[in-house]
Amino acid sequence: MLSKELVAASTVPLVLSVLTEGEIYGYALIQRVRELSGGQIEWTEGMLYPVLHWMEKEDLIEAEWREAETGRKRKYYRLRKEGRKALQQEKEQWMTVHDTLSKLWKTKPHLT
Amino acid sequence: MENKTAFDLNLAIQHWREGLAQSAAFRNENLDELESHLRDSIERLQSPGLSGEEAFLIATRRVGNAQRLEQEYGKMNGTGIWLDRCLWVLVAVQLWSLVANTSTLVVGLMFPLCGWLNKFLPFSGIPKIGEDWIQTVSVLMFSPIILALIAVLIGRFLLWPKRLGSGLIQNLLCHPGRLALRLFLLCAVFNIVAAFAMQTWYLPGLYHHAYSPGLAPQVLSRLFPAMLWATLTFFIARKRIRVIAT
Repeated sequence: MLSKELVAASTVPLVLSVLTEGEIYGYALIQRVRELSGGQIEWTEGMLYPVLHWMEKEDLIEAEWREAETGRKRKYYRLRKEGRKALQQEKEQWMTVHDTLSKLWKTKPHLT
Repeated sequence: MENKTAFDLNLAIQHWREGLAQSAAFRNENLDELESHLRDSIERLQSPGLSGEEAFLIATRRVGNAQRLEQEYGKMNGTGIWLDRCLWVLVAVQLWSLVANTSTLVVGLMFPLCGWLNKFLPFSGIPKIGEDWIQTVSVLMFSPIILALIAVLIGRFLLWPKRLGSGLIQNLLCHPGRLALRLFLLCAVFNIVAAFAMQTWYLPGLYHHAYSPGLAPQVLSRLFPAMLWATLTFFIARKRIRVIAT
């Protein structure tokens, strides 16, 4: 299981990345992340929505209420241009962290 | 066999939603979305065979603790919460002006009524209804504070229990902007009617000492505060109304 801090830090890039697959509503988004992480990333589900609304305010994503096949209304989120740009930046930053850690961990055997 | 205390899923969801709705931190739309999420989650949990009650308990737990949700949503909806508070102040002021105006009108109309009653009390020995007496009783009976108290009591005992059933009242309570706007319209109509009523029945009545400013200034003096409320309502409620409309 991921630490609270890491879960919080990775929420925005995760949401942006899932949205590159197409529009999606909150519950499905959470399911998708759970499935991809093999259950390692567990959000307090209700907490995702304030983040989504913040991203909406920042124009990273846009949302629309639509009726699903079941007849129930759901709010669907979609990626916007600004969101794609933000995702690109996030990617670079996370890759930097990833590469640095990988290099460090690869050299570890030489130290012993 | 059906159990008497069978779990009603829809009712449980409704109660859960109402619990959250107690806090001003959630907008209606937020609650819609959370409810939609909860229903999705319950459906999913029920498919492998969980009962409605079990699914509900797990789903609400997963959505999260109400207090923490309230904190997070409060951060998001800060401005909206402020706006709502202003609107509630406006609603309160409007209600007060409505009650105060009603009391003025009723007390005013007591005098011609008193004169009219005296015409029908010709028997000697029965004390005529004097203006002082009528004034004291009517001022006491229809003072704004007493009227406000009656309104609160009626609201508490008659309207409140029907809150869940009455769509209109619940809707208005959730949208102070709409409530303020309706109250304004009510005030405007009431003020115009009241001005005409005072002019027609009260001023030409018994009480000759009454100051009669004429119809136009009366209508204007009643319309002016209403216009002021309108302007205030417009500026304060503009954003909120737009939010509601979308």
